[in-house]
Amino acid sequence: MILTIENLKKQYGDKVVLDIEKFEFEKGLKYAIIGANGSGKSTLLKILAKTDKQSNGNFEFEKDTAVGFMPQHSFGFSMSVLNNIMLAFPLKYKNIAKVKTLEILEKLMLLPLKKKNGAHLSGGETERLALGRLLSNHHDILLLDEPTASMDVQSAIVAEKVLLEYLEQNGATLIFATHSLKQAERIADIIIFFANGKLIEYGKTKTVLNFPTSSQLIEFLQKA
Amino acid sequence: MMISGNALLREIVATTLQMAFSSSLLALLIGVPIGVLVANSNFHGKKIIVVLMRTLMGLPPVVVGIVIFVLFSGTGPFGSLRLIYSVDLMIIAQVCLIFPIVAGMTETFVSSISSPILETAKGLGIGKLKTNFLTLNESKYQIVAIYLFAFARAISEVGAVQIVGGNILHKTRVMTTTIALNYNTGQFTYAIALGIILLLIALGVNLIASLLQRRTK
Repeated sequence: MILTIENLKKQYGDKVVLDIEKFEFEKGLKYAIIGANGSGKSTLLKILAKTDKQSNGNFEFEKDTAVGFMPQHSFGFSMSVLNNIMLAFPLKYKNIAKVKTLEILEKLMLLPLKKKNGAHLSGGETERLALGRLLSNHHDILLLDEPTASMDVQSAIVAEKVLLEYLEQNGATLIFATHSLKQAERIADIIIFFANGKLIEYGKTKTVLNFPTSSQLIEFLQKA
Repeated sequence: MMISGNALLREIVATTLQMAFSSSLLALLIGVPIGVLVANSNFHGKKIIVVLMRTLMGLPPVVVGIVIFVLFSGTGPFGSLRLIYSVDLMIIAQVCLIFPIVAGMTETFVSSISSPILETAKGLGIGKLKTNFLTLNESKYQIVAIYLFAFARAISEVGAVQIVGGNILHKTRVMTTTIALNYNTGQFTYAIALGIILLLIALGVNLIASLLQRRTK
C-alpha cells in the first residue's frame, strides 16, 4: 500500500469536517473522490499534502514516496509561463529543464503562451500551467484537487490525456477530487464518496456509479 | 534661494539625502526578510511576535532618539565607538525607527497573499528558502510602495535625528532640523522654502519608483 489512513479526524470547534476510520490506497491505482461541496474532499487532500497540519490521527505514505499536490486554486507566479514550469525542476536537472519544459508546454497547448506572465493567465490556462509544473517532475503519488474545474472541455480532455500518460510512465498513484462524474468515470479505477466529512462508500468506478448502495450516494447521483 | 541655491543649502540637502537613502535602504534590507519570514512561518508565539512588531511600528521618534543617545553617549555602552553627533548615528537611529514599520507592513501584505503561494510551493516540493524568494517576487510592487513610505518617514523625521545628531552646522544639519531651527528663530520664509524642497525630493523619488514599477511589470 502506498498510503494508509487511520482514524484521521479534523474539526472546527464542534463541527467535524473530516472523519475517516481506515482506508488504504493501492500503488498505481487512480482514485476519484466525489461528494458535494464541504464534504471533506479538499480537506483530506490538504492534510495528505501537509499544507493543513491541524488534524488528529495518522496517515502514512510508503517509505521515500514523492508526493505532488495541486491545490484547488491554481497559482501562476509572476514570471513567464516557461519559468513557472522550470522552477519546479530540481537544480541537478537544470541542464535538461528547458527541453522538458518546452515538451510539457506543447503537450498542454501552452507553447504559444510561453512568454506570457503566469499571473496574467485565465483560470483554465492557470490550471494547465499548474498541472504542467507538477507533471514536469517525478512523483510517486499525485494529489489533485479539482484539477480541471476551470478548463473548457477540450482542454480538460487534453489535460487528462497528458496526466494518464504521466501516470503510466511513472507508475504513479493518483488521488483526485472532482465534481465531474464523467471525468471520474473516464479516469478512475476506484471512486470514493464523501458526505459530511465521512467516507460513505467506495469501490470500482462502474460498480459505485451503477449500483450505489448508500442512500446518500443514490441521492447525490440523482442530483448530479 | 530655491532657484539660485547656495553652498550651505546644497550641503544640507546632500546630508539629508545621504541619511534618508541610507536609513530607508537599510531598514528595507532588515525589515523585509523579517516580515516575509514571520508571515511564511508557523511557530509557537507567532501571534505575540506579530503584536510586538505592530506595536513597534508606533515607536515615538523622540524615545528612540533618547535611547540611542544614552547607548552611544560618552558614558554609554557603545560610547567608545564615538558615533555621537554623527550622520552615521542618525542613520542608526532612523533604521531602529523605520525597520519595524517595514517589517510590519511586509508581514501584513505577505500574510494576505501567502496561502496559495505556500500551498503551491509545498505541492511542488519547493524548499523554504526558495519559497520565501518566490513570495518576495510576488510582493515586489508592494515592497516598492513600502520603500517609498520608509523613505518618506526617513526624510521627514526630526525628533530622533535632532537628539542624536545635534543639528551641528556643516556636520549633522539636515533639512528637517534646519526647518525646526528656522521656525525657532522666526525665519518662516526660509523654513517654508526648505519644506517645499523636501516635498519636491519626495515627489522625485515617487516618480522614479513609479517608473521602476511600470518597467518591471
